[in-house]
This record gives sequence, structure tokens and C-alpha cells, in this order.
Amino acid sequence: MNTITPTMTLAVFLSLTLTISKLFTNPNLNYTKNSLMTTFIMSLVPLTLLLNNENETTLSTSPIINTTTMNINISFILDTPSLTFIPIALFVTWSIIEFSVWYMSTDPYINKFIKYLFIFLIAMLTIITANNMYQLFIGWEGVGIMSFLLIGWWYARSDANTAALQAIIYNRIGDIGLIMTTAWLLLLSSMNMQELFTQHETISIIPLMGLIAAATGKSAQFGLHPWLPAAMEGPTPVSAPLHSSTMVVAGIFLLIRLHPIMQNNELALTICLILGATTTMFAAAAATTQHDIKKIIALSTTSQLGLMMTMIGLNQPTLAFLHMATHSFFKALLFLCSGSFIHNLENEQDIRKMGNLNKTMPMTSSTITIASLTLMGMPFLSGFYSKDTIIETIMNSHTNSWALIMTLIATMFSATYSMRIIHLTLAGYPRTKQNPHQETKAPTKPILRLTLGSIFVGTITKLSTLQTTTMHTMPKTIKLTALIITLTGIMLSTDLLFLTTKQPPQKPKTLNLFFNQLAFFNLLHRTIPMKTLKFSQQASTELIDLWTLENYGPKGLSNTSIPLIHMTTQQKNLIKNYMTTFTMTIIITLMLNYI
Amino acid sequence: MMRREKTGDEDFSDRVSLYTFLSLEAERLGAPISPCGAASTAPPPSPVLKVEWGAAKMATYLTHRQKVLRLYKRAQRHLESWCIFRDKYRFYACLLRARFDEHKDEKDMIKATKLLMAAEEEFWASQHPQPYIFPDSPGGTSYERYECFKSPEWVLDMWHPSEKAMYPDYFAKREQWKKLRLESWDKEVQQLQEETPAGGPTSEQLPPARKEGLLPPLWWHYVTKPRNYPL
Amino acid sequence: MNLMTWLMISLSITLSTILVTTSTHWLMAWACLEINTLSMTPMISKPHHPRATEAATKYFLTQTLASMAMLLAATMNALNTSHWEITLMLDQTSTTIMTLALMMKMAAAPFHFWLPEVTQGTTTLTGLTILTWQKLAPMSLLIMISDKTNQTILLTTAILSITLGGLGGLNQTQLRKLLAFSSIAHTGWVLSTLTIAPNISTLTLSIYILTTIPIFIMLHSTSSSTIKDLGTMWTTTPQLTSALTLSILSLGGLPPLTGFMPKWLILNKMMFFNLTMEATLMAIMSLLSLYFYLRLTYISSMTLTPHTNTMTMKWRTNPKTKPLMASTLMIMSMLMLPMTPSL
Repeated sequence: MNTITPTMTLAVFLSLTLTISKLFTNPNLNYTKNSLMTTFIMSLVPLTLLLNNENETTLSTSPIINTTTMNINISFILDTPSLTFIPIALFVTWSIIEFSVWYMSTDPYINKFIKYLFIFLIAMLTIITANNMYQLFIGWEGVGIMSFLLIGWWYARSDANTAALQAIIYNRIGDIGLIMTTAWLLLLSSMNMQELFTQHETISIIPLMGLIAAATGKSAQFGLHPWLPAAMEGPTPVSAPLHSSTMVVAGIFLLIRLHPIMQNNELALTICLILGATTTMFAAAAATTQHDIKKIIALSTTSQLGLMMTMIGLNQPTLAFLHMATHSFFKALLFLCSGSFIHNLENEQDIRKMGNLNKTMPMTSSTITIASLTLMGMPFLSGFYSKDTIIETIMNSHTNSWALIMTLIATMFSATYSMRIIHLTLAGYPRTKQNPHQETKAPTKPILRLTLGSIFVGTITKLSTLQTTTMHTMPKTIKLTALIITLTGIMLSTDLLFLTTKQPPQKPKTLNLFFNQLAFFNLLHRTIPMKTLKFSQQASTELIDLWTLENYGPKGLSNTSIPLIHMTTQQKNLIKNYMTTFTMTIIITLMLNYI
Repeated sequence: MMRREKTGDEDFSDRVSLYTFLSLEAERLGAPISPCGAASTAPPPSPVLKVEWGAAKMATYLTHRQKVLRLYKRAQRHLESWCIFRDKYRFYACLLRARFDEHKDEKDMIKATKLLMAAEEEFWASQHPQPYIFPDSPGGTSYERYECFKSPEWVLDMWHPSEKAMYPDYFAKREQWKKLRLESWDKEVQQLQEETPAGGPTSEQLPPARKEGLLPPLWWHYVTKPRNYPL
Repeated sequence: MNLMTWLMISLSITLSTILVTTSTHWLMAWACLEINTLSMTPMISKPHHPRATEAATKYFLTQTLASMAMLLAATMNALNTSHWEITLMLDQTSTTIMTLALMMKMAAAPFHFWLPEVTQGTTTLTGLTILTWQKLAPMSLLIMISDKTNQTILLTTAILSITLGGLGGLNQTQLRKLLAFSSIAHTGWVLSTLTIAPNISTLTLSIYILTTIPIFIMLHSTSSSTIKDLGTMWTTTPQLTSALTLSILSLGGLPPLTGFMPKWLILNKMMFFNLTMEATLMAIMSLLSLYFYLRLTYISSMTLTPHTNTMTMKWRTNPKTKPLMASTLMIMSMLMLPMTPSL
């Protein structure tokens, strides 16, 4: 009985790896989704056991590398977060891969594309199951490099290359934090998570700051956010896993995983809270000003990640995890639906040019509506269970009221931009040439599956795990805050949309510009490399080329050795000199001997 | 390595505009211009080819009229980013047109230039932070997306016979095209030279075939144009 | 040269060296060294060229001076201690004179001037004999008196030899002279551990000889005499040229090659005896030699010389005899580093 969980989990890994290797020989892609389906079903078994027994398994190999101070081994942790998130990641990726076989069918390298997605998934699963910092770091970097390759998939586009570079550079800034924390833990504590958690003394703020930096980079929190909207340069089936279950949630997951070491550190938690609140507010506001459908959804991801970060700041990692789980479903769904639309409109991504899609693509339209409603937190859809709880918790806690207000405004904005998508894409009349394809099984099956997920996952979670929670009592207003805020957002956005239709065009407000240009990050993007390169150029030309190398480097060396060479080969062919040298040397040596 | 027949002369790029064509012509006045090289007779250096580059000049100096018209078009296009619904756009487009029309009979150039300047400033100040860009225009979301799948058409000549044998129809047709090109080249050039006005070409458009049995000038570049999207 | 004469001379060169190494009596050693010098002189002047004759004269004069000094030292020792035993040089003055005389024979700096001149003046193979075989006799004597010699003199000479060998070689385009300077530098390495670890010195000398022989054989078989000739060597024997490159690098003492082994051991030993400053100086000064070795490798195999068409390209038909000795020794000179523990 005890061996089922690790066996199943390892079988999932093995099966995924085998699928990749099979792709080298077999160009038929249908079995990839089948294998993902099988692995998903397989991964449900350990989850069921977990729900039944509530036990936690750790699986370690005997040490691979032995050193005098520590042993490095492969170690898996199979506890609630990992065993819950593995099926979710598999389910979402299953749908996405099925979708991308359809979406990318014209791409000559679709085989490689699917392989990349698989490796992406494996890297994420490595992060989720890692029981020591090394393994986590391997998965972390694996996710980073795969996102680089996938965002830069259309490598002929300079924008795509820039976006890929941006992603890897911003992630690298965060990675510095993770590397630092790993080194710190290696020196002062342990790499192994269990040993780390059993440590009694509170850990210093420095490694915690490293962790927060890592999460900020990976989860695109405010400050390191610009790469996430830019990552929309990748194909839509890349954005879907990137934003739902694989890449960006890794940062939050890291904090959830290592939460026991930071739960006692007030400063770290406050930083998380403020960072999260800023991010969620900023990204939601930015999303309302965007016009590219994928960018809106991307910024909504950032906003939701900010919400999760706020939860970690509130010392509620389980809530963050719950939101991460439900978010995976509806965010993947949103991306797949928008991918379907984009495909339909011949690569048109601008919502200003969409419209009337509910007539041409009724099924996808209804699913995107459901996804948006879930995102807003409509009662009894998945998002409701996580989002509503989050807001209730914030309202009930003694938190900083600024963070509370930011979160509430962000929630309102999330309703606003979701309504904006619905209004502009589905309603009205068409504003560009549409090339409606039949809503065939290939794109709709994964979309429908994810829709079911978006509707029911929350309820299932509620029914299966939250039975034991105690009843909270709170005033009616607080209980209904989330709903009220969301409804306000919906009404405001609808009204504003109708209003602006009649208004004359105006000069953009500075605030609008600020959010639209994502806090003018471009200024930094241009100034920093410019200044650095200028400075380096000056340093290298003036200090190194013109001074060091001329005076002390090769030039200086040759300048000093040439006179020496001339001096040593000065006398030639004079036997008298040879003899004299010999005699003189003997005499001098003897004299020195006697002194 | 397989060499093409002596075609170095006409093989300048895969998409050729009349200007590049003529500039190449002008560079080798008197040289034989034919895919067959020496086999053709050199056309007499026509006065057309000695003209300085009107086209190149056009880019540096615009007439006032051109400036106004370009501003008008830009403004109208920009308005589409602001007014996304067509009815609203129509209304404001008319208003914009009216504002331009108001001064269309302005004869005083100083005043007109000042008006133009004011208009440009207004346009700059009220431009959209994210103007709508067509997906396949520069800056658009699918611009150059499929460039990585494109290869220039001469690569086809480098294919191995066994590879060519996999697409027998296309390569048979291609051989015919090559023959046709050899035959029609002189006529194409002749037609171009005849139809180029004395002051240099007036548009980028290539003329159609005028006579019975002739092919349109530089047709090769149309039939061998690489596809924009992968199959 | 007459065959009989040649046989006679080579035999006496060989025998005299062997006799020196086996003798215990100073007079015997001196006599054998004299025989050696006298036999070597006609070998050097073999080409009947004024340059060769000049080289022979120089060789003869310098060696005679050294022999005289040697005889003087031995006699002084005999006067003081009344015996001629080589291993019992008790008198300090005579030991000093003896050491310096033997260094002159080995061409260590500051008595190195004759070596490049003589090597350049004679044929390649005779040059090889001077650089390798002729070092054995004085070396064996030095080892025999090594427990009495003055460490300071040896180290000073060693550092000076390495420096002067490096500096001298930098200014050379003639290959034989260049290798003579390389020999001077190597002599410095050999001398450095003579008192503290004579076995390492022996090893250094043998590996030096092992590496130099194939290089000289190559130069002989391709008739190369200047650096420029190395540039076209690949046209005749491309494989051996690349092997030659590695052999030259081995001479320079680059790590994966055999030549690294003696330097490594020497530096290690010197550090062990707390001679850090000296070891550092020697290591840094050997970079000078490394520079001209790299120049050789660069020209022989890393680049094509920008020669004009007036320069004839060399070509040969396939040689009938395979350069068995050169190739075997080259392999040894490159790949013996892993054998270090068993030596």
C-alpha cells in the first residue's frame, strides 16, 4: 500500500520521458495526448490515497555524490501540494497538447514543439516533487530554459527573440536570489526540505529575501514583471501552460514549499504582502488598458499571481495553493479559447478588431464566458472557492489596510477586464474579416474538458478536503464583499463601455499611459544596457586597451624584454670573451666562497 | 555544385521593384542585359536610364501637398484605434475630413505650413499609446512569423536529383518556366524601357503584358514567390 | 669522411662517455673527457666548411679550457687530500672550480655562449650529438660530486640558464641555434635539483634527450634549418609535422605531455625544500622559452605562412624508409606523463 504512491509518481515521470523518446521515431502525434491522459489517470491514484489517508511520502535514493560534509541524492517529496498539483499539471497539459496538435498543425517542426512542451512539463513536475534545493533548482532552470525556447519559437521574429531574452534575463535576476539562498542553506542549514523545516532557530532575512527575489522573477511580481506580457510572443499553446500550470506558478510554489521557514519572519511576510498587493493592483489596472487579447490575459495572470503572493504574505500558503490550482484550469481555458479565436481571425489578436464571435464560434464563446466568470469569482464556479475565501481571509485578518484596498480594487479590475474581453470579442458586429472554421472536435474537446474543470474543480475540492474546517462567522457585508466588488466591476465596465462608445476621442490620460506602457519599463530597458555598455566600453578602451595593455600587458612585456634579449645576445663569436667570462666567473665565485 | 545558367545579371533578389531593376540597368549601361549573356544584342542606352533618381529624391523632399495627404491618411488610420466601432468612426472621420477641408483652399504658403505644423503637433500629442497594427505589418503580432520557413527560390536549383524526383510535376513546370524566361527576357526588358516615362518611373507598379503572347515584365518573381505561410 | 675514420671516431666518442661514467679516478675521467673532445672536433668539422671549422675550433678551445680547469681542480684536490677519488671531493675550492668547469662542458649559463655557435656551425645530427650525448659525461661527473657541490652556485646557474636560454631563443630564426638555447634552458632545469634530488635531474635530462632526438631527426629528414622552413614542412610529412608540434610543446612542458613531468617534479621538490622563490622565478622564466616554442608550433601547424609564389613548395615522393625511431620517440615524448608514478 505504501509503495503505490511513489511507484505511480515515478511511473508518471517515466511515461513522460518515454513519450518524448518515442517522438524521435514516431511522427504520429496522437499518442502523445493519449499518453498524457493515461498519466493523468495514473496520477489520480496517489491523490485518492492522499485524500483518504492524509499521509506524506518521501522517496530518496541512496546518495549519488558523497562528500565529507554532505550527501547529494535524488529525493522526492509526495505531500499534499505535490500530489495535488501533479494531476492538475498533467490534466492541463493534456488539454493543451491536444489543442496544440490542432493549432500548430501547419508548423513544420510541430514534433519538436510537442517535445519542448513535454520537457517543460517534466521540469515543472521536478520542481513540484523536489525534496532538496538542488533538485528544485534543476527543475527551476529547466522551466526557465524551456520557456526561453518556446517563447522564441518563431525565431524569425525579432520581437519573439527579444521576448525570449527578456524572459530569461528577468528570470536570471530572480535566480540569483535562489542560488544565493541555496548556497546559504548549504552552509548554515540543510538542502533537504525536511531537515530544513525541523530546524529550530529562525532563519535570517537574507536567504528569505533570496527566495522572494526568485519568486518575484519567476512569477513576474512587480519590478520583474515586464517579461510576462512580452512572453505573449510565443504561440498561444505556449502561453497556456506557461501561465497556467507550469512556469509562472513555480515562483509561488517555491514560497509555498518553503513556507515553514519564513512563517515566523514578519519582515519577509510583509514584503510578500506588499509586493503581492502592488502586483495584483498594477497588473489588473494594466490589463484594463491593453488591447491585445493575449496581453490582457497575461496581465490577468500576473494579477492573480499577485493575489497568491498576497496570500503568502498573509501566512496562508494553502489558500495561495488553492488559488493556484483553480487558476490553472481557467487560465489555460482562457488561453485556448483566445487561441481558437486568433486562429479564426487569421492571427488577429487585437480585441478592437474582434466582435460578434458568439455568432461564428458559439461554443468557444460560451466557454470563454465561463472562464471569465470563473476568473471573476462567480459563485459556485471554481474561482469562487479560492478567490472568495482569499478575500474573506483578508477582510478578517489584521492586515495592513492598504494591501486590503489594493486587493479589492484589483478584484474589481479583474471583473472589468474580463467583461471588456466578453463585450468586445463576443458582442456587437464583426470588425474584421473572419474566417470561421468549423468548431471541430480537435480544438473543442480540450476546451470543453478544461471548461468542466473550471466549473467543477472548486466544488470537488470543497467536497473532498474542506469538510473538516471549522465554521467562520462574519458580518454579512464582509461575507459578500467579493461578490459586491465583482458586481460593481461588471456594472462599471459595462457602463463605461457604453459610455465611451458615444464619447468623442480624447487625449490619453497620463495614468492610462502609465498602465498601458506597463510603468514605462522600456525606459529602463533602454537606459540600463546603454549605460552599462557605454561604461564598459570606456573602461575597456581607456583602462585596458590604451593603458594596461600598452604599458604592462603584451606591449609592456615586449618593450622590457627586447632590450634584455639584445643584451644577452650582444657578444658574438669572440672566443676571448668566452674564456674571460669563464675565468672571471671562477674568480668571482671563489672570492664569494671565501667572503 | 550545380551552377545555374549564366544568369548572374538578372538575379538580384526574389522580389524586385521597378526601381531596383532600373538602378541595376543604369549601372551597366551598354552591357548586354539578358539571361543568355552574349547571345542578346545590347539595347541602345536610352535617355530614360540616364535620369537621376526621382524616386530616391521623393523620399527626402515631400511636397506640401504630399505632407498634408500623408498626415490625413495617418490621422484617419489612427482614428480607427480610438473609435473601434464603425459608426462612431464614420462620424469622427467625417469631422476630421471637414477640418482638413476647411483649409484646403489656403493659398498663403506660410499660413499653410503653420497649419500643417499645428496639425502635426496635435497628431503627436493625441496619438494612441497602442495604435492598431495589422498583424502582418511591421510591429504586428505575426509580422515575419513565418520567415523562418521561407527559403529563396534558387535553392530549388540546388536540390539533389533524388529530392527533385519527389516533386516531378513542379520541377517539370519549373524547367518550362526557365525556358520561357530565357525566351521572354528581352521582350520584358524592352517593354519596361518603352513604358518608362522620361522623368523616371512614377509608381512602384510593374506594367502588365500589353501585347498578345507577351508575358508581364519580371513575371518570374511572381511565379516563384515563396509562400507566406507554411503548408 | 673515411668510413674507418668515422667508425673510429664514433666509437671513441661512445666509449669515452661510457668510461667517464664508470670511472672513479679523476685522471681517468679527465683523460676520457679529453678523448671525447678530441674525437668530437673532427666530427664537427666534417662538412669542410669554414663555418664548421670555426665551430670545431670554438668547441675545442672551450672544452680544453674546461678540461684544464677540471684538471687543476682535481690536482688541487689531490694535493690537499692526497687521493684522486671522484666521489670524495673534500676541498671546497676545488669542488667549486670543478663544478664550474663541468658546467662549462654542459653549457650552462654564463658559460653557454659556445653552444649556439657550435650547434649552428655543424650539421644537424652532429648538433644533436652535442646537445644530447655530450651532456651525459659531465652530467654523470656532476652527479658523482653532487653531495659536495654548492647549492647556491647551482641554483644561480640554473635560474640564469633558464633566463638566458629563454631570452636568447626569442631572438633566433635559426632552428639549430634555437634548440641550442632550449638546451641551455633545460640544462638549467637539470641543474636546479642536482643536489637535492639527483634522480629527478637524471630524469629531466633523459626526457629532454628523448624529446630532442625526434625533433632533430625531423629537422634532418626535412632539411629544415630556419623557422621559415617549418612553414612548408607539412607538404612533405603532414603527420609528422603535427606530431612535431606536440613534441615541441612537450619540450616547453605543457601539462598533458611528457615534458610537463620533469618540471612538475622539480617544482614540487623545490617547494618541498622551501625554495619557493627560486621555483617561482624558474617557472616564470621558463615562459620565455615557452613563447618561442609556441612560435614554432604556430608556424609549423597552426597557420599557413604567407609565402609568395616565388617560394617553392617542397614536395617529396613517399619515403622508402619509415621514420620508425622518430615516430616512436615522438610518441614517448608526448604520452609518457601517465607513467610518472612508476618512474
